[in-house]
Amino acid sequence: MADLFSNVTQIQWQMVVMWAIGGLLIWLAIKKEMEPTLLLPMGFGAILVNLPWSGAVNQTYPTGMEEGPIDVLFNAGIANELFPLLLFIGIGAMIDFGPLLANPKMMLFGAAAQFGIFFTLSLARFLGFSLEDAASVAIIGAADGPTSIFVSQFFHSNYIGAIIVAAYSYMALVPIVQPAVIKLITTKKERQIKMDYAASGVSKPVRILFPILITAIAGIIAPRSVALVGFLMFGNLIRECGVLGSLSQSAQKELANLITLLLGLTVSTKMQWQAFLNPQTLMIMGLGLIAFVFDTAGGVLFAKFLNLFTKKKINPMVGAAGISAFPMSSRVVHKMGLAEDPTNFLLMHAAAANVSGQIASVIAGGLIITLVSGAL
Amino acid sequence: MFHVQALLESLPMMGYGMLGIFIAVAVIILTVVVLGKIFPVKK
Repeated sequence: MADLFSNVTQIQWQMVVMWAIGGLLIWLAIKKEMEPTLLLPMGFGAILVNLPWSGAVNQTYPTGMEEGPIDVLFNAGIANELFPLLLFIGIGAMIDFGPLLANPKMMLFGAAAQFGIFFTLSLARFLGFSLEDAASVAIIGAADGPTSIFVSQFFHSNYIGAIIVAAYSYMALVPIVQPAVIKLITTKKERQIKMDYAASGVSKPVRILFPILITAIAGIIAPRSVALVGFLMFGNLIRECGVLGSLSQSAQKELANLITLLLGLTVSTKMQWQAFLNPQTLMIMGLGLIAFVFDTAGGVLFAKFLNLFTKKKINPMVGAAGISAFPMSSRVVHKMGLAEDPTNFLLMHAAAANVSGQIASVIAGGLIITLVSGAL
Repeated sequence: MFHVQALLESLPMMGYGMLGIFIAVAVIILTVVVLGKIFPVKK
C-alpha cells in the first residue's frame, strides 16, 4: 500500500507551479479562445510532463533509461524540424497571395515589420543571452509559430518551451498589443487616411509561378530558409495549381490539424519545470513582447517614412499588418480604420501586407540562421 | 549584468538582417511586377 502512494511524496512545489501554468494555458485556450489549437495541447502537456516520474517523458530508473512517448515524438518531429515544416505545407495551402500579387509594393511592409526580430536579438545579447539563445528568443518577433520552433530548434536553444509559449501567446494578443502601439505612434489624422483600392485580378500563371520563383529567390538569398520557404510555397502551389483540390483540402485541414495537435503536445517536453522555471523564462516573455512592439512600430514608422516621399498617402496602420500573424493583424488594422472613419476600408491593403509578413518572417528566420551561424 | 560589448557586436547583424530582408523583398516585388507584365489578366 505504501508503494502505491510513494509517488505522492515526490511531488515538488515547482511541479505544482507548472500544473498551474498548464491550467492557465488551458483556461486561456478555452475561455479566451487564445490560439486554442496550440495552447490547449501545450497546457495539458505541461501538466503531463510535470507529474513525478512521468512516464510520458524519458526517465532514468535504477534499471536504466526508459523512453517516454513525448520525447520520442520530440526527437521524431521537432528535433529534426520536421513538424514545423510539414505544418508550413498546410499554412501555404491556406494562404491566398492574391491581394499581395495585385499590389506587390505592400510587401515592403512585410520587410519593415521584421525589425522587432533584429532589435530583440541585440537586446537579448545586451541582457546576457548567448548568441544562439538570443537569436532563438528574437525569432518570437517573426509572429510565426513554426518559424520560431524551427529556428530555436536549429540552435538547440534551452528555452524552446518558453519561446513557443511566448510566440503563440503574443500572436493571440495581437488585438491588444498592436492597437496600443499604433495609437502611441500615429495621429488621429494619420489613422484616418483613406487608401483607394482598385480590385485587379491576378492571372493563373502568375499565381502558379509565384510560389516556384519565391522558393528559388529565397533559396539563393538565404539558403538556410529554403526549407521553410519551400514547404510554405509547396503548400501554396498545391492550392493554386487547380488540379490538386483534394490534396489542398487535406493539407489545409487534416495535415495542419494533425501536426498542430502533435506539435503542441510534443513541445511540452520542454516545459518540464527544471528547464522552464527560471528567471530567463520571464525575460523571454518580456523580450517576446518587445519583439512584437518593435515589429509593429517598424511597420508603422516605415509607412510614415514612405509618406514623406509619396503623393498618394499610405495609412500607417497598414504597416503594422506586415507582421506574420495572419489574418489577425489585418483584421485589427481594418477594425481600427473603421473605428476612426466608418467609410475607410483598409482590409485588402492590410491583408496584402499581412501575407507578405508570412513570407518575410520566413526569410528573416533564414537570414538570422545564416547570420548567427556565420558569427559563431 | 548588462553586456554592452555583446550589444555592439550584434548591431551589424541587425543592419545586415534588415538589409537582407529588403533586398529579398525588392527582388520578389520585381519578380511579381515582371510576371504581371508577362502574364496579364485576360479581360
